Amino acid sequence: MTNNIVVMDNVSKYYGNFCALNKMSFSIKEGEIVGLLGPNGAGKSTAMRIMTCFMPATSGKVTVAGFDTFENPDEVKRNIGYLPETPPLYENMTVLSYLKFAAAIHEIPQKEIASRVGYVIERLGLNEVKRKIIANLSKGYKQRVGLAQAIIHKPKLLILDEPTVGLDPKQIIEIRTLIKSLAGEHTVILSSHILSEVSMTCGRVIIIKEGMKIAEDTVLHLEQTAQSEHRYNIKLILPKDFDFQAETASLASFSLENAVQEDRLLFLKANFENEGDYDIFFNKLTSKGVVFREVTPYKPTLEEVFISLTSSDGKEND
Amino acid sequence: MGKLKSVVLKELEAYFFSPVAYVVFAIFLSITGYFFYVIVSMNKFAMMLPIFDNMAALLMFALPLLTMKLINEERNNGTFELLLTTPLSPATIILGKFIACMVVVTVLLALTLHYPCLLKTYAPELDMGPIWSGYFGLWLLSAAFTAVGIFASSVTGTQVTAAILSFAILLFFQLISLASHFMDTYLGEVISSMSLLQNFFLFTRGILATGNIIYFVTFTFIWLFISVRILESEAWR
Repeated sequence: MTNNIVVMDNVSKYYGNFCALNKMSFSIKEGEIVGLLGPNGAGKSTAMRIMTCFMPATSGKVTVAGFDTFENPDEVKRNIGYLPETPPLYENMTVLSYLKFAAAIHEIPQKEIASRVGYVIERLGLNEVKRKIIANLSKGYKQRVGLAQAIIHKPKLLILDEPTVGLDPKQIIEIRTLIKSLAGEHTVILSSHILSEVSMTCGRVIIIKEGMKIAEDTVLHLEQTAQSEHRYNIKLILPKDFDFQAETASLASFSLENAVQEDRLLFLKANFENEGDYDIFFNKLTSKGVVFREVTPYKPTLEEVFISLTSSDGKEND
Repeated sequence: MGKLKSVVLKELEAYFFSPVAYVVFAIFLSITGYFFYVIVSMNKFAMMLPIFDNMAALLMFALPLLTMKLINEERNNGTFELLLTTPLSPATIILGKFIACMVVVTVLLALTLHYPCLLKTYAPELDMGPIWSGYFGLWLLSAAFTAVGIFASSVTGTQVTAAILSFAILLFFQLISLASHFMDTYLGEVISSMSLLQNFFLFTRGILATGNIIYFVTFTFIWLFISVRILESEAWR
């Protein structure tokens, strides 16, 4: 067996006539943290549900931890921990009895249940609430109980469907830190429609739209590819009676996206065609006595990458 | 085995930590108590037979209420995704829920045991045979009702529709006992012999007929089997 823990091979899923996944193929290596990224309804949850054997694919082959989801679902289920979009909690149970139940149905031997439950309670910081009824817990704690359930049987693969949706910023940071810390022990695949989310936790991103994979790359590389031009945010202090327009007219290889002048202060957002053009721009202006106060290379956010990828793809299809 | 036990325990916890079981118990026991008092004080006979008939009718209302949330609540809460993504088989889920409900019903029936004890105190020659067989009959009847309730809960989206559907199915299987009155043929006999009431009748008279027992076991099995199949097909819909 290779060290691919998930292999999706040409997987399609139809709900009636509606195509939720269209010939999707990707693979995930052991130890990775991979983000499934896409707008709502893109097919993220469907892809995850197929991996967890919750529903079968219409066509194609899915292998998880070396087992086929169709032929060997029980073996697949033994190797995965799954946190659906809404944490699957029994509201009228206490955290402790819920986790004991989760441990038992995940086939943890009777005599190890207590120690495993104790471990996940410690690990996810549930000690204060372990005797509380789940219905009375905050959303953040509920999410943690859901996570505890997913890791209780030490699965090789953790599948987390929108793990931070509906949480407040503090809880989001907590859950994010937890997921990162779990990454050492499990391969993690998480879905999100929030890009900053994915860029902060995942090493690799698979972007899907309308059931199709439109990009698959490392977060770093995706940002670089979208950065086709050299863009800078520049803050200048101009000498008295300096005509910026006239002085820079000879420099053809740059364009201004935005320019705001306040007295002698000038804020620019500039695009340079080639890397060296900025140096020429800099030398020319400094020789005229312009002072450069701030220069920041402007990196596109994943949001922009995402929009450019999803919209250009849309055009190709039309 | 461990998995089945944990499903049963989880369901029992759900029953006894929510008010439904207590409300059903309270209503069932107060109505049974009222009937016991009225029937015995009017008839002046030391017999459980009319009370068993009343209890059978009451169970027809009580069990749809006890079973209505068993499956569709899991579906609505998203806990189905937990159950079906663990190595837990649909058969274990259904069987676990069935056993848990039967434990609850057994407790409910056991809580009425003081009525025969009361009769025995005042009528020491009371024949306990028909009473034990009557209780056994009630227990089998409850198993059949529970199986129908689980089926109804697995095909409906809300608890109210589940309760209404299971009540309708049970009512149908009670009413077909009247078929022999309308159809003076062999077919009428066959149809009415399929009714729950007809098969319960002999138990209260102290007769344990193999045919009746097989009827209840088969009836229960069929509805549970259909429910298992519904859960298995869940993913394909």
